[in-house]
This record gives sequence, structure tokens and C-alpha cells, in this order.
Amino acid sequence: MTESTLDLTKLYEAILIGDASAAKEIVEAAIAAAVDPQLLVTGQMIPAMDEVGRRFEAGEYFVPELLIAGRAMKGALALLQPLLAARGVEPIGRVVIGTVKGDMHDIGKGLVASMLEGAGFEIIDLGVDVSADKFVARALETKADIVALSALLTTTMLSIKDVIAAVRKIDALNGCKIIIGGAPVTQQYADSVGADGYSSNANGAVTLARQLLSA
Amino acid sequence: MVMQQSLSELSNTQPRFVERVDEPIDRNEVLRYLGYPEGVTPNQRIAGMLDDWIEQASRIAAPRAVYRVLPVIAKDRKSLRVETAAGFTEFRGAIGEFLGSSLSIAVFIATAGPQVERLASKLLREQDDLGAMVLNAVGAERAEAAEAVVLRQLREMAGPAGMAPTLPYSPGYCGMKLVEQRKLFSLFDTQWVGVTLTPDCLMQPIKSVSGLVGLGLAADVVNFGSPCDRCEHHNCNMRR
Repeated sequence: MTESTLDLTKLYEAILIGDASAAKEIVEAAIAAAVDPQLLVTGQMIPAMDEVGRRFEAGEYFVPELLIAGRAMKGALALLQPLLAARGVEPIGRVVIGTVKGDMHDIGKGLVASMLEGAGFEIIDLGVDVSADKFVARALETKADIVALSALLTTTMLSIKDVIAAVRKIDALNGCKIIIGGAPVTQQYADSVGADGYSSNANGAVTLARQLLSA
Repeated sequence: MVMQQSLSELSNTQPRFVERVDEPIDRNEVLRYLGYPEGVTPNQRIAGMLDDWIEQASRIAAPRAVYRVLPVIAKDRKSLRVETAAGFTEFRGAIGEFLGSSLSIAVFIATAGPQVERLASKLLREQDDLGAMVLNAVGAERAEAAEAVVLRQLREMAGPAGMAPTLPYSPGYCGMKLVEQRKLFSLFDTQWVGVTLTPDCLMQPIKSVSGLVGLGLAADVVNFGSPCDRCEHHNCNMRR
């Protein structure tokens, strides 16, 4: 199959409906036909995820639809990443993400990580019950653009403040943005603890991360 | 006669066990946990995936609960003391006011069991986010279903005696520190129910619920507002 006979809009459709197998097949065929990988990402895949986000915001899609679209996106992206790296294409940002100390909840944080990765961010996922020191160490080590903090409980969201204080103390992390989320967290809480941003959902976190890095 | 029997049941402080939950998984409740508004159903493809996971989860879930009813021996706005075989246990915090009309307190631990969570973690490691999320939603539904059985049994015991239960109140709720979990757990041999506390007082399996329910004369049992009324986190998203 050549580039001219490939219907790349099918990649857009596959990601939009979360058909990971179809997305993978189309990308494999496109690679075999020497299609520009950047064209696939910017022309089909990111627009598809943008549409997924739009549908989520409009109440047409819900978390499961987001998850399967993100999975299709990640699978397709994994095939393209070696080609993109060989061309010197960098991720649009590097995010260190984790659930704060004392909190064992993984799912919400995982969903945000998945959506950010699908949007082209490099993700360093520290897991759950992560100390402030560990957030700082990994952010320094990876030269993170963003530190993303999750907490599911009113009792553990207080740890968010400790991480923000620890990150702000480090000169080398001056440009690093901090975003927070989780069931009990609000914009007012984010403002009160000096976070750079807050999102109530995974899709919003992608928009927020993009905004912060383009500012 | 019924009233006497109920009162005698209520004054029996021995642990009571809920060994299983007969009610099937409430699919609508699982959908609610997954973010679907009431009345909205997923498309056929997603629904098929969800039903497969719910079916798998139903086979491995082992919801159970344990509870004890303990007489209140002292209370004020910021504390509540219950009598135990070893003497007494004093819970601190707004619990004193919230359950203040109670003559007895039922303390309970309910769980979905360990297997649902184990499978959810495995799926997450395998990057099957959707499967993990559905399993977690089912875990939450099963733990609450076990709690619901406890509450139903309490109502059935209390009703004929002219008594009624309050809403449950849990350590970690606003006005009651999470460390109070240690006191609650000290009232049980938790091996049977299979729930343990981490050093940070979180329960494992995560899909577990613990709490206290007041039992008082029906005419006196008043829900003293929401626990949130006593909370200093005015910017909390969970504020009701």
C-alpha cells in the first residue's frame, strides 16, 4: 500500500472510537508506506484526541470513552515514537506525576497520566504514596516541565501543600509548573496553596498543561 | 416481646458478622461511579466491555462486614466514650456532637474483599485503565453493599425497640481525625474481615468502609446537619 492509497482519516476515526487494534494497523501500514510520522500525529491523532476532549466537555463522552481513546492513541504513538525520536522530535512537555504521601489511590492519577501521554507529553509516573522529596528528586532528574499531584481524600490533600513548598524551595525548578487535582480539590484550594493550576478531570488536565507550557 | 428481644440484641456487644451480600452488583451504581449521569447508558461497544468486567468482578468479589454495638457511657460535643470488655474507648472529634443523641454506637468495618483490588492493580500494571477503573467501581459498590447490610440489620434490630440509627460517620470525615481509625480497629479482631490499617491509617483493601452509627430513641435521633458543617476545609470539592 502506498501513501496515496492509505486513508489516514481512518486513523482519526479509530482513535475517536477507541479502536486500538485498528489504530495500530493503520499506523503500521503508514510506516510501511513511509508516511511522515509527524503528519500522522499532528494531522490525525492529536485532532482525534482534541475531538474526544470536546465530546467529553460536551457531555457526549464519559470517562470510559476517554480511556479507550487514550489507549488507542498511546498504542499508535508507541509505534511512532522511535521514528519521531530519530528525527529529533521532542515531547511537548515532561510531566512528573504521582499521588501524594499517605494516599494509595491510583486510578484518577493514572487516567490523567494516560490522557497527558496521549496528548504527546512524556510521563514519569511515580505511583502512589509519593513523598515530597521524591517528587523533587525526580523533577530535578528529569528536568520536568510540570509536576502533577493527585489526592483523593480530604486528609491527604493536605500533603499537596508540602510538595508545593518543597518544589518552590529549589531554584533549579523555578520554571516547573505544579498542577493539582483529585476529588476533594478545588480551584480555591489550588489558589490557596500556590499551585499553578487545577483541573477537575483528566481532559481538563491536558488543556491546562498545554496552556501552562504555552504561556 | 419483640421489643425486649431487640433491646437484648442491641445490648449484646459481641461482634456480628455479615458473611455475604446477596444483592447482585448494582450496574447503575457502577455506571454512576464511572461518571455516567443518571439515565445515560454507554454505547453498545463500551457496554459490552463494561458488562464483561462486571461479570468477572462479580465472580471474585467477596463483600463482608463485621460490626459491634457498644453502649455510650459518656459524651460531650467533642468526644464520645463507649463501653468495651476491656473498659472503654473514647472517640474524639465532632463525632460527639454528630452522634450525640445515641444511647449505643455500632462500629463497623465493611469490605469488597481483596481480589477485586488485586485484579484492578494487575490491570493497571498492564495498562488496561478501563478494566482497572471498572473493577475499582465494582469494589466501591460491593463495599458499600456490605455496609448497607449492616445498616439494614441495625434498623431491623432498632426499629421494634422504638429506636433508629443515625447516618454513618467515619474517621477522616471532617471534624474527626483519620487516626481515630486505630481506636475503631482496636475494637475488632480484623483477621476475619481481612481489612488492615496502613501506618497512615488508610484501609487495605482500599475498597473498604469503616464507621460509627449512632442508635438512639427514634424520636431523639436527629442528624445534626452534615459532617461538612464542622469542617475547616471550606474549599473542599466534597463539601455538602
